[in-house]
Amino acid sequence: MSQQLRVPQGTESFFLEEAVRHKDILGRLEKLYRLWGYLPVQTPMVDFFDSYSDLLDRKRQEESYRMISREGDLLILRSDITLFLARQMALVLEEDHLPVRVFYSDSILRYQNHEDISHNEFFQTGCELIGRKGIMGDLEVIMLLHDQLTALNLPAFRIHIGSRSLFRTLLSLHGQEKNEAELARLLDIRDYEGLCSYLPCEAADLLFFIGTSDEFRKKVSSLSEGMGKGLKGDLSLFEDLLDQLKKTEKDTCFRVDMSEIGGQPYYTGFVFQAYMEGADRAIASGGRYDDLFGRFGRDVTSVGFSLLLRKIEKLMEHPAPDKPSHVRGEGKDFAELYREASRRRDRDEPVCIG
Amino acid sequence: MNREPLTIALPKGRLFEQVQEFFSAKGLNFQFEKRKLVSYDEEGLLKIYLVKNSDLPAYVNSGIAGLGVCGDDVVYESGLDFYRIRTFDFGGTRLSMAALQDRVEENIQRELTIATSYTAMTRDYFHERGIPVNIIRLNGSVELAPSLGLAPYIVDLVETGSTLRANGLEVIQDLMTIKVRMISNRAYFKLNYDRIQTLLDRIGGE
Repeated sequence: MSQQLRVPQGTESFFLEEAVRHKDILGRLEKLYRLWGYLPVQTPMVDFFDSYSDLLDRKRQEESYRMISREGDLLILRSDITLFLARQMALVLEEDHLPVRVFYSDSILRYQNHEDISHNEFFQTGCELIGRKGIMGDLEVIMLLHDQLTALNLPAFRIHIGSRSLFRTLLSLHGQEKNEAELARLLDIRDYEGLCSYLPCEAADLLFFIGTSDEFRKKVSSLSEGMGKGLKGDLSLFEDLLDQLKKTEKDTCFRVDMSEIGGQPYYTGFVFQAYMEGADRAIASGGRYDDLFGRFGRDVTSVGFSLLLRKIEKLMEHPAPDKPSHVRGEGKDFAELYREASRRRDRDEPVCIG
Repeated sequence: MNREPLTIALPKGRLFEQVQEFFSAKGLNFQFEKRKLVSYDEEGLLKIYLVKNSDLPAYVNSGIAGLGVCGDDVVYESGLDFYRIRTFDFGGTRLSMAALQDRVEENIQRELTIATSYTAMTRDYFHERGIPVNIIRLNGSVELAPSLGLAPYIVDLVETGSTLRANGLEVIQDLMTIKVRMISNRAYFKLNYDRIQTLLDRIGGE
């Protein structure tokens, strides 16, 4: 088959009106990041695979593009900006500057089955709040995501909040720490019977819980004494977070969802995913990963999210860009046309010459 | 939030009749007009798409149908991930390996040549056990392969085993149990969990 007619799976280009829309939407998001005090960062396209191999599950490894450098090192093309950013920031962070707020917007490369074109995971924008512990950091990040999605006037969206740490405590209570990966897999496909073969069904019921914060409180109050006591620390932190969200009076789009435990094993605390009508998968995901920077030699906490922008662009209403007018004139030379166009451009009018 | 009927894809064929009967027993009645592939239940709770069994995962994966009913084999072979939100007690079967009756005693701990329509499940099953396997993909009438000399072994879904016996075949071993489940697109489930839970409560089961 002619190579001229093919593009590698997991890549895309976009042009003209679609590109204008992408840039406009990105501009709105980046403006809001700046208003929240976040500064831009740029990560490299390629890095050493070994730096990330134990942070990526098997599926994510299989989706990544890898290659051999001229020196014989195995390299990975940027498939997850959170990881690339953590490693880069770990190299340059200074203690005196913490907390650090950064945002990014860039392409990522992941293999996409040619029979499954629904992922659209080609472009990530997101933020990291580095060096802020506790729920103040958690709340800042989740409310920033809330404000971003609200600013885009998306169709109905919801943010589901869960906790990797509560999940781990639950496993610890029942001596199942060594089966974390398998239990995460069972939870990931909502296999209730499977979970109940490892954990008491009360634990499986809790992990399957989805509801409002008030419904969650009722659920917590109905837990058996042993379960409630064992999870007391995690539940208390989680309820503090929900209290604060309620006080923002913008909590109607939040749901407590204990099946959310973070798609990647590096999550350590609260986690969340955002969903919207018309999108076949989560459009954003994030949470706390306090050990991630430690993997790169820096003992500093972090919390953040990433938004898969291409998934939502096609579902948004966005006006077509203004068509430029033209300056023309028989016998006029370029300099005359240029001067006329410049006068109109000074008034922010798009103008083509000729 | 969306209050339209829940969307569900059902597979054409024998499984459809079992699903229809099961739903009817729960008071969820629906019929398809001749040649039509879209219908609603009488209460308007469900919008139902009738699709080819092997295409069902594609519709649920895209979110066009938020829910679907199909066997584990269909999901596995699609390579796609879904929530398994209900397991039904009808339609279950086994994925089994079979050979001509005079070959069943042969040692299978060596490289195998297997004819099957279930290539992903077969490959993964044997590879996970460190057994090399050559797979010949067939789209039907797999039972013919051993007697015609295409492959000494087949892997196929077996219910009663009568088709195998009619072709001189015998089950060597069961590879896995196949259950019929209700699956859900993940995002669709998250956005409609309360209505889906109401449906699940109504139809009962695990």
